[in-house]
Amino acid sequence: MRRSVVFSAVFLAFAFGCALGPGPDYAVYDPVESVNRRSYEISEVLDRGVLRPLAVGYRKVMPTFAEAAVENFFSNLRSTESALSGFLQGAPERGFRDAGRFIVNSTLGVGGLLDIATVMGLEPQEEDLGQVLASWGYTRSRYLYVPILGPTTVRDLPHLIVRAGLPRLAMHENYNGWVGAIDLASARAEVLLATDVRDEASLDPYTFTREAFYQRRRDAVFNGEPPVEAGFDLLLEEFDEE
Amino acid sequence: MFRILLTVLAFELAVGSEPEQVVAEFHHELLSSMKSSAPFVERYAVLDHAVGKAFDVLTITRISLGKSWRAQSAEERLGFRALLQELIVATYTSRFSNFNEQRFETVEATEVREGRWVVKTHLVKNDGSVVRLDYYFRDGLIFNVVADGVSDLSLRRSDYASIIGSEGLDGLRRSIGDSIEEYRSSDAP
Repeated sequence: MRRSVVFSAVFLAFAFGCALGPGPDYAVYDPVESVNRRSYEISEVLDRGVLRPLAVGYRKVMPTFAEAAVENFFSNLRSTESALSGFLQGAPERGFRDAGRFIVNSTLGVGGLLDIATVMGLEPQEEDLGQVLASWGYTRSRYLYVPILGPTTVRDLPHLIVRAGLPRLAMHENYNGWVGAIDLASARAEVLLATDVRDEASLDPYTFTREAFYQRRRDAVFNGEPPVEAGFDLLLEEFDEE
Repeated sequence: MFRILLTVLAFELAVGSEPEQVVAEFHHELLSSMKSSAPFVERYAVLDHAVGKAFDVLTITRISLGKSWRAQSAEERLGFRALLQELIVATYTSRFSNFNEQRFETVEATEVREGRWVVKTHLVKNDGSVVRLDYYFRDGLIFNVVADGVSDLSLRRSDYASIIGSEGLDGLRRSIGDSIEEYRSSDAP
């Protein structure tokens, strides 16, 4: 019952949010900023009180090789989304690369603990369902700040859900509370440097996080090669008007 | 005639395009700062010169302040320009303070439009991981740095617009001043 309510809520939010907002592609669109800001503030309190200390402690006690093994393990499980997303974007070579990575790392890499595929030249393609929807034309989407899970957009919600659910789906009952806590600590530890830089550099961390999120997503959709002309036009537009 | 042409071509290849050269010199200064054991103040002075030479801080200030720029007097504009230069230099001095076998590589330099260039580079860390650093040029000077797809100038503009909206330009001045102080004190012995 609870599951179907959650599913319906997500479906409705997604269906409602799918209407493209006004403005240029990939630009920030945050019509419910006050709600998102509140969600961000709550998450920050949780992060400072629980998640960040957990990640710092995790990094302190885990030897580097063990930390890398945990990161490899979970990212191997999640690479199936990337493989599928490559195919769905009509980029079979990217899909095959990630599928190959999954097979190599699951077998030669001892269940994903070692990233043998990268050593063999199969670099991760880092595709996801949000990028699939963007490549299908869903280029403008409402911003959401989901407590604990962080920044996203309505378009990227399926990716967020699949990302969170894949290890559970693959490990069944073995994905218990302890494994979940390690997964969470590992994921938070991965972005420690990024959030520290944000805290140091930003004057308004909410705005900073939102802007950085949209730009990272745009970069991901273009596989790290976004059109540079747009970078000039967007920034120098007002400048050139004068 | 042919020999002269070859000489000119060889010289062009050796020197590289001008923006590429500006970035190479700036990277050289960053690496020197990372390798140096000199205190913050000394490294700051060296990088202040390097930033002044490579960056168009006036354009950065103008875009960062957005619409508020127009309402500023010439004196106020220069004041903000000086403040932003201080912030940029303090940020570089603080972040590029430890050398750990990192190296910079230039990937390509492209003239997008007349006078507008993008120089794509990589910061390669000692574990082999790469941070993509793209330098955007306007009239021979850098006005934007994009790190792994995130534009420093866009972040700055959004961040500042939010503070100007809530605390005004005085609030922005105060916040930037606080950030500079934090960078300075974080490097204090």
